[in-house]
Amino acid sequence: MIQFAYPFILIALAVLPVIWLLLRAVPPTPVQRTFAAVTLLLGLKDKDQVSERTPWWLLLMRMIALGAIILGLAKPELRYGENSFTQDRMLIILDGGFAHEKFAQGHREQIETLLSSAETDQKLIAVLDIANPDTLDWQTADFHQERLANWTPKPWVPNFEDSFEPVATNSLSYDTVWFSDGLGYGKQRLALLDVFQDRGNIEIRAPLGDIGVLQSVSRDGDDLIAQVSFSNAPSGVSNVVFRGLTPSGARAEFARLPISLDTLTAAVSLPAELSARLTDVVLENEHHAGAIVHVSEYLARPRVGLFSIDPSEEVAELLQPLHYLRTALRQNAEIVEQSLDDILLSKPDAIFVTDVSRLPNEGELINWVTNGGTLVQFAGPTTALNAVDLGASELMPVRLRQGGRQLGGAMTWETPKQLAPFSRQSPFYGLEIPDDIVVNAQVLAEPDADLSSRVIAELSDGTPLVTRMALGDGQVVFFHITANADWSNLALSELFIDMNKRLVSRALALDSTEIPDDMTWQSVKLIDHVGALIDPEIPIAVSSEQLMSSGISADMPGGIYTSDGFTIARNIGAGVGDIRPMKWPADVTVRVGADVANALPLAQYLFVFAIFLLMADVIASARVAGRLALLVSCIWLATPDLARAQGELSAASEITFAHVLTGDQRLDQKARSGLFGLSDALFFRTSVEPSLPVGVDVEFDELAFYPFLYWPVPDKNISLTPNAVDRLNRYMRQGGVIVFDSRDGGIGTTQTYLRDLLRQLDIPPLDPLPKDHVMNRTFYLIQDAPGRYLDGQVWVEAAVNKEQSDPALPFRKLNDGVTSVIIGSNDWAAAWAINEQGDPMYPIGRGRAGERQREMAIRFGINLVMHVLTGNYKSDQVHVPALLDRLGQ
Amino acid sequence: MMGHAGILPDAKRYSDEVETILLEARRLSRSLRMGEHGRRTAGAGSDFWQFRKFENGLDTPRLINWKQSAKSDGLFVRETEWSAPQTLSIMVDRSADNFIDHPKSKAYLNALIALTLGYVYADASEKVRIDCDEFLQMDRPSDQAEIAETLMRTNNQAWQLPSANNISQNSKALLLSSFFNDAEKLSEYIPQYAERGITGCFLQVLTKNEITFPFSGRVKFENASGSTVFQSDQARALRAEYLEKLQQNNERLQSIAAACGWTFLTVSIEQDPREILGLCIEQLGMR
Repeated sequence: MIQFAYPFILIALAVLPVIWLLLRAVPPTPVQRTFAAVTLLLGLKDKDQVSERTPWWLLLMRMIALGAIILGLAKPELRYGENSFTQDRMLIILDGGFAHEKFAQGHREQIETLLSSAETDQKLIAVLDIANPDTLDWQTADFHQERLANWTPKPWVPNFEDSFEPVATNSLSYDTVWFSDGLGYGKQRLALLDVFQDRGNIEIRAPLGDIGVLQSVSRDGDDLIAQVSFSNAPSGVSNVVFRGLTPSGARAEFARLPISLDTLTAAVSLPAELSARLTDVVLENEHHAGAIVHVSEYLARPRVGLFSIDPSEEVAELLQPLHYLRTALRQNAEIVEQSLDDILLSKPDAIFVTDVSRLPNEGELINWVTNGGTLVQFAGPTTALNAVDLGASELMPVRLRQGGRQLGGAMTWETPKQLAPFSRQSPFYGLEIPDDIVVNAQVLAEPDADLSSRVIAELSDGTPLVTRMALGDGQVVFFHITANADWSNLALSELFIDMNKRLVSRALALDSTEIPDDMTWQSVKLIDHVGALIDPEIPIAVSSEQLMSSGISADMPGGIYTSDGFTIARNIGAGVGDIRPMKWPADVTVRVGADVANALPLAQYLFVFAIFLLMADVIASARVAGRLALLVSCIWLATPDLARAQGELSAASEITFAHVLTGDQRLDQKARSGLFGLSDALFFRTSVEPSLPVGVDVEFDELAFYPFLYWPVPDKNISLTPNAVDRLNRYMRQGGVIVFDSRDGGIGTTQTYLRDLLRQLDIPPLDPLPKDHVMNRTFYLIQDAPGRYLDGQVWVEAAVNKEQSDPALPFRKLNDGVTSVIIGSNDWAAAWAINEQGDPMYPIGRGRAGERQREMAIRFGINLVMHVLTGNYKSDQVHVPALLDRLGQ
Repeated sequence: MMGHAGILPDAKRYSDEVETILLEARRLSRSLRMGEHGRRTAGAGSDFWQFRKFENGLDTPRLINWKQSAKSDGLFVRETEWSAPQTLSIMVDRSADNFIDHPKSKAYLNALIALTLGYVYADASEKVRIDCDEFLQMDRPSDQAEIAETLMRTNNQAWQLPSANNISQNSKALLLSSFFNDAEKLSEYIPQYAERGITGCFLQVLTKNEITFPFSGRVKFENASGSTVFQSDQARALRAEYLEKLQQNNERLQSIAAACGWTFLTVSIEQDPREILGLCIEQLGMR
């Protein structure tokens, strides 16, 4: 059955016969014929005034097209199947949560069909988006059509609590269509369902398919573990993909792991460099915001600065204290080894310092430690000598005794000491101490009331080995031995690695579960409906409590939050927990998947049909009027790329000179005439026979076809886009020559513009044109390069000595000795310019001297072209005898 | 100066066309070769005409043919046949209308006829002058290519006839055109030509469209330059009238020709050029 939304429009069909008659009355376009005997026809008269008629089939075609448009405007709809909606109002409910994204496209199409039938039936429609509930707004279907066409789910869990209010406030009766994402959200959903069942018929549109959620990614030692939850056990293999950035900044896939269906986890041990660059982890084939976890810094590796004050001393590598630290930390941390200033700039989590007499930048270091840094210092001979001074520093956990002590040496009584077991309070607690570790020397601490609380490792005789003190949010740690094997073989043991690892992970005290209270966090990125990070329109501020406790909602959307240098990512999966499929009560109609259509809107097909007919009409009319060829050529010319390609084709097949279009009409005209004159001179005097010069737009035109570009500098600033700069640089590198002409005789009116222009380009070093430059003898033997002015200096690319030639600067070699730029100010175009009749366009000089100057300008132009085309050919020694002969020497 | 854009390819195309038409004209002329012919009267020439008696006082003794005189009693003079060359002037209409549908245009046929006749008559030791704004001579090999080139390009002007003074007395002339709007001009010029003893022939070349007028429906007619336009709503109905006007025009031309002892020929562009050339030679005679 076909139903029309606007049946009254069909009245317009009655007008068709009238239009038929009108169209018949209008004669067709006359055929155009070229006919030599037309003079014989003049004076003849047509017999009767009834003109030739448009062919009936053409008229019929137009009528059918018009009829199809009228029918289409009436919005016909083909109905089939049964319809359970009887009320004249309809409520559309959308779950609208993160999981709905997976089925959004299919549901949008269903909504469109639903709305168009509702429009046909003239129902009032309201929409309730549970993820973003608002009061119900009863409107006609076409009001909602546009809004729902762009509807996207929200990247959080549907908000059932607030959804009762909008529906409870009225007592209307209506039918309900509920677009569900297929997840069970507990009792609230069923309670809401009860409300609608009282109002009228209800139909559930459930998706076909399951949802998987990536709940979390956590670090367990070296392993990264992804935890996944599925609404139903997945039928195939699902993968978790770890993605990140390559060193060059491109996105890359680091690992792809199948989910273990027993534990619903996937674990991977990424190499340290990769895990440092990890950006996100994705559950494949899900395409919604709950299937992606953006990695915050707690998964990243700590950054550690290594600093030794005196690297000038020649020490074998294996004896350097930093070597052992570097080896110990390499596995777990990103290492920065620079000056202390640079280390601080790189915002390290910890700084390791070996054997210094005095810390530079002490103030800044204190600042950094107070803000959460961990400073680890090692003793050594220098420390031992300056122990008292050092001990007085705020950055030293304990006061030190001068000199240190030696154990087990030839001149000492005592034997080397071993390590005592770590106490429970020590961060090293639980590490196993090998028996063979001995300490031969150490720096001793002054006995102190605080000393015992600050010791975190000691020797068997109770003297401190490692001491620690909290300072602000950070800590300072001191090893009373060296970082190399001089004083103890601790540095050679695995224990040393483990101890440092613990210190470094202490430096990263901030885990996602333990963040400081009373902080205000600001969103820097938000997660959108497909899980991508976007810049928030208005940054959202939340408290620590909100950030960690409440789930993801409209008030606290998922994203990346920062506060005081801490960065935390809040992902949607974490707040969702385990997911279950929705089980709808048996008494509601549930339609699953796409099996829901019962109406087919016909308007679009009618319109397409009409457009085809009208296009056929254009062609047929052109055929009838004998102008089909004209139509085709119009289409051809209307395609600018083809026209442009045509021009380039001719430029490629013949030598063509080009000038750069400056936007100044007169200047462009002058440049064109100048090149025309030069082409003409070349045509008559040499075997170079150029075609007409063209103006090029450096922005868009292909430059490769032109041997050189003449660029008159206009009286205004030229700013080039990066694209143009790139193209021009490439042009010069690949053998093109650009001739810049500031046209001011070197007086300086356009010099600033020229300078600005050149600054943007990659111009090689320049020299004034030397007298012996090959350009001065490529065709004529000339002395200088006059144009309309005589004396302007000409600059060319500087000669490079063979010995000094730098392979990194390939200009000279690549261009075969042809300069890639020629910069002058003599206004050559004016001297070359001729008009269509071949007469010079601009006066040059005065009288015969002026004519001579013009001639020399043309000769320079010819030499220039010859130089561009033949390169350094004339600098070959073989020409020397002829040249000397010619010069009369 | 000429714009040199595309001059090389253009020149190549023209030279191809010129070569082709010269070759074709040459080929046609071979099939039409006429014998050497004399004036059938004694005069300057190389062929023997007659021996006649020496007349004292009238002939100088230098003219005596001693070999013949020795054979008998009297003195004899050897006379040769007079074979002074005739002159043929060919005037070709090069207005743009002749170039419609180039290269199968009237202009091509005109050029072919002019050049072939040129070859034929030049081979028969006649003088052939072809009007290319100035007269060029076909018997000069150096002019041939230039003639061909000129005839293959329109001068974009209405046809100008040369004044009678530029054509030698008692010579022959051939006018090649479609003569659609030349009747006035001809009625002025042809009597002047005839006064100088010039006789000749109009050769009208018509295209198929011009002969049959196959148009129907709404048609906008225009000439090659677009300067003259005529629009008809029912072209088919105009056919008879058109043909009648064409006929009238031709009759007028015929009468102009007849009045001065000229002939008027009309041919279709689709006719075999050999046939047309035969007609021309027959009319021009040159004997």
